[in-house]
Amino acid sequence: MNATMYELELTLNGKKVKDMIPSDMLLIDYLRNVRLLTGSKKACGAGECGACTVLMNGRPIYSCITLALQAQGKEIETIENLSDGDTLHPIQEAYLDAGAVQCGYCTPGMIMSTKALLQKEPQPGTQCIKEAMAGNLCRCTGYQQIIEAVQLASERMEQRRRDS
Amino acid sequence: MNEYKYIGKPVRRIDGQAKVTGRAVYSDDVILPRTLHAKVLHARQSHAKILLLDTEQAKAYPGVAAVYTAKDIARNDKYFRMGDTKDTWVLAEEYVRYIGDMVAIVVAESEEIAEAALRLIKVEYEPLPVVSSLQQAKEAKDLTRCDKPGNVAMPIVVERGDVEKDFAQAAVVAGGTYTFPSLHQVHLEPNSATAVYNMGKLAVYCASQMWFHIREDISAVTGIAEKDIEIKPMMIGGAFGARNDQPLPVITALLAVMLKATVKMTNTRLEEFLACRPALGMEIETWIAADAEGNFLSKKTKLLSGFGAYSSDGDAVTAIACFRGDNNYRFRSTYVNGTGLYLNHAPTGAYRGFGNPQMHFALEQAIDELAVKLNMDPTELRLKNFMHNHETSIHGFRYETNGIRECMAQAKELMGWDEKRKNKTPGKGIGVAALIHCSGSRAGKPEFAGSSALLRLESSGALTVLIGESEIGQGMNTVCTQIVAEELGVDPLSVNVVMGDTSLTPFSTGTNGSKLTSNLGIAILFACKDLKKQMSDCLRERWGIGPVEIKNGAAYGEYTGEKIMSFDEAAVKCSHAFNGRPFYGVGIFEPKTDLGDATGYGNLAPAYPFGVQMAEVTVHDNGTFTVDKIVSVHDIGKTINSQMAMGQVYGGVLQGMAGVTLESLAINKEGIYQANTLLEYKPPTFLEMPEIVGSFVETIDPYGPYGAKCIAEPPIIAVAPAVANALYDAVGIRFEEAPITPAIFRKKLLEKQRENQRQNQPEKLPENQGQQRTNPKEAGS
Ligand code: FES
Ligand code: FES
Repeated sequence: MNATMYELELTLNGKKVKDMIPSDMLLIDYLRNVRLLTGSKKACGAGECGACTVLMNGRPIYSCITLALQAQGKEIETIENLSDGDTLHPIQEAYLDAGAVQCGYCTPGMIMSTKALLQKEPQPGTQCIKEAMAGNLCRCTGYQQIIEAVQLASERMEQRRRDS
Repeated sequence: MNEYKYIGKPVRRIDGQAKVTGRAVYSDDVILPRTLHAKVLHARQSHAKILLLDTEQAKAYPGVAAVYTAKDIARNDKYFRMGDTKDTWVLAEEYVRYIGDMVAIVVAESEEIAEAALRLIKVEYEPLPVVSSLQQAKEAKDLTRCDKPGNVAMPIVVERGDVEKDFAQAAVVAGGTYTFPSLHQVHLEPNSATAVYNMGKLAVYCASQMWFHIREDISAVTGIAEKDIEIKPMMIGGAFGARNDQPLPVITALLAVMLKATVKMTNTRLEEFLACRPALGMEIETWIAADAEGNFLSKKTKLLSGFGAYSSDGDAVTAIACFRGDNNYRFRSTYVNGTGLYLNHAPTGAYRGFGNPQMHFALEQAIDELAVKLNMDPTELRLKNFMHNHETSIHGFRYETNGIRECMAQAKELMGWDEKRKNKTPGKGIGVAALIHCSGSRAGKPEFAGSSALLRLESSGALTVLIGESEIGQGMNTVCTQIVAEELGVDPLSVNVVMGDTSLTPFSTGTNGSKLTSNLGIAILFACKDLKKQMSDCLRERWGIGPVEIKNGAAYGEYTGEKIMSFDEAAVKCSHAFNGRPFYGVGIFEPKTDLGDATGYGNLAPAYPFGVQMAEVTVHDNGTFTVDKIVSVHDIGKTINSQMAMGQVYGGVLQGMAGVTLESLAINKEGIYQANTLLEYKPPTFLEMPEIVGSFVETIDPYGPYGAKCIAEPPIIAVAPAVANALYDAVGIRFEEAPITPAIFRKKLLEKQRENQRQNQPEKLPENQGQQRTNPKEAGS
């Protein structure tokens, strides 16, 4: 805890932010404890479960094994950015419609991984979903309804693209 | 059949929006001002005498508020109410008895400071012999704890009927000794609690399956009266039984009282593995006697179960393992000799299924073995021996509805059983196992059998269900809203549900025994009826309106059938008629069940869920295997939420499959959990999913709400034996010991191939003869 303090500047959920933080602070702790963005969860702290998944420049990362300073100058997106408080993101809607949420502890990380996946691969097949999401553990759902949610979100987002 | 608007439908989860947006507040998300942070020093030895415990340096560390050891805690011996044995302490006194035993606690300004100070605590141990296996505990040469001679935590010996006579008359006897390891629940959210002490009162923000019991524990340890303790229920990130008994919130509360402060403590994943309450490992020797036609006569069982160093839920789990499985079949007699043994590892307790999966692993394989000996289709053998409707089983269960035969028929259809048995594909195997459980087991609930619920109506029309149970992901809060919506005709998403705030809700014995839908559901139904009656009485007596009937979200004239006013208008009228008071619908359900007599005999539950599970496996050329498909058919009574019910099946089946093919704590001779990370313990990922086909048989039970029984626990119960039986079908090897990882499977398969070769070429000497089974982790699985 005698780590030197550094200035961290990043774009967090679309807004530029600046904080003085110790050099050894982890990104998950920065998000949760400094920024009070408690949507991202710390379930293992070791890069083994994906509950802490956030997007760094659009790519999913484990924020529990990433130093906050690694986000310097980057764009970080967390689960809090997906809904404006009135409407849900189509991925969130799909998770609800498909019954992909039980205890919900894996859900923020799952949804962020889904977002990254659909950005890269708008219409993923089942095997592609399984491989892309294998870094996110869920103990409740048995994954089946999560796969259905990803597919449902993909269809709806595709539909939306076609409509617009 | 009744037509329902909300019951049986895939109604959205009421807590879903909070969960998908990250707004749901779990215990570790509670951030309060002026909070101190606590960290525990866990034992580094599985069994040792504490020679020296020096905390001076830690106390002097800047930022440390306090360092406590057992001698600082006035009521150190008042922990723990669960289990009759009361053999636990808050902090270890003279001895440590498992890795994870709590030795000292540091409270500091930050978690980092607390961790740094922990490293300054000096402990010297004198190592003592470690009892790490059931056999070693049974021999009792070494003692798990010096105050428990013989290592026996509990014995059960029960005989019903004349077992010796029935075995003497048997044409066929089959069985063996089956071992099932201690598994971990791996709920994704680690335990966390924040306790606030102020002027003799305490508030504790935490997760629990038993809010009122945790309050009782906190009261016992702190000396603060229960009425001065408020448990604030947080969103819960999974439980699976693990949150029946949790030291963390109790200790956090104690620290807050000792320091007159706000204290927070959060477990790391390692602490979740080491210092929580995994399931009981068991060794079960069981034999079934049958006549030449395959009619079961008798069953004989010797069971050893591992309690860990202290008692948690071990006694109740062991009792259920001893009895429950027998009730699915017609036995003339049965004998069970069960022994709970102390071991130098973490105290063990509840895990989805509560001892029933362990017993099913033995029983359903023994039945499979019997089918082989009788040369019968294992589905036929089971069908021949299942219990019927309205029968009473050998241990006193009485079935109002029993859909096991329909489950079997559906499962066979969905698996293509007959076809696959007729035309066997080399390298493939199919296996079946049946299951029985309780909907609302009375076992282990001395207080009372039932549940109660309140339904509050405010003048605004807002409806709130108040219940003392927990939402652990299973979806009970949504079931509550469906019942209220069905009865009153309001939108389910408009109904609020408060679960477990001890200052607001009725007392509850806890969230376990698969009792919420079946018992609590009726209490909620009654609360709805009570509220409707109070409303219509009030409208008639105070406003001269009526008689009315409250339905479809409005008040209707009982005779005219015409809508008189909206529900919200009726709410205002009711409240104003009584100077603004809210109306409370009260629902009480008291099932006619027994606690069980001294021999465990009795009708423990109002209803019993049944099920049949089937597995299909493929053995690969490299000698490993995969589980391709699992069919899981359940007599659910009546489905309340089709989507959530299926979610329970998918989750339970995968958990069951992983429990037998992947997961292991890999406890070694020193009592060390070699698998103490998620990576090593191996909960399943997306990549290990088999195809899961779930289906329901609706028997419409006369007790449950709308005929419902339960679905939370059953899907995990018979997956392991179904997989083991499928492997037997594929390769002719009986896997009596779990886990059956692909690596262990391969080893056994190679052994068998060598054995076959040896029989063909007797001159060649086999390698590895008599070699012990390697630890799964060493086997490179
Ligand atoms: S908390 Fe980051 S991967 Fe588990
Ligand atoms: S919903 Fe509980 S861990 Fe995924």
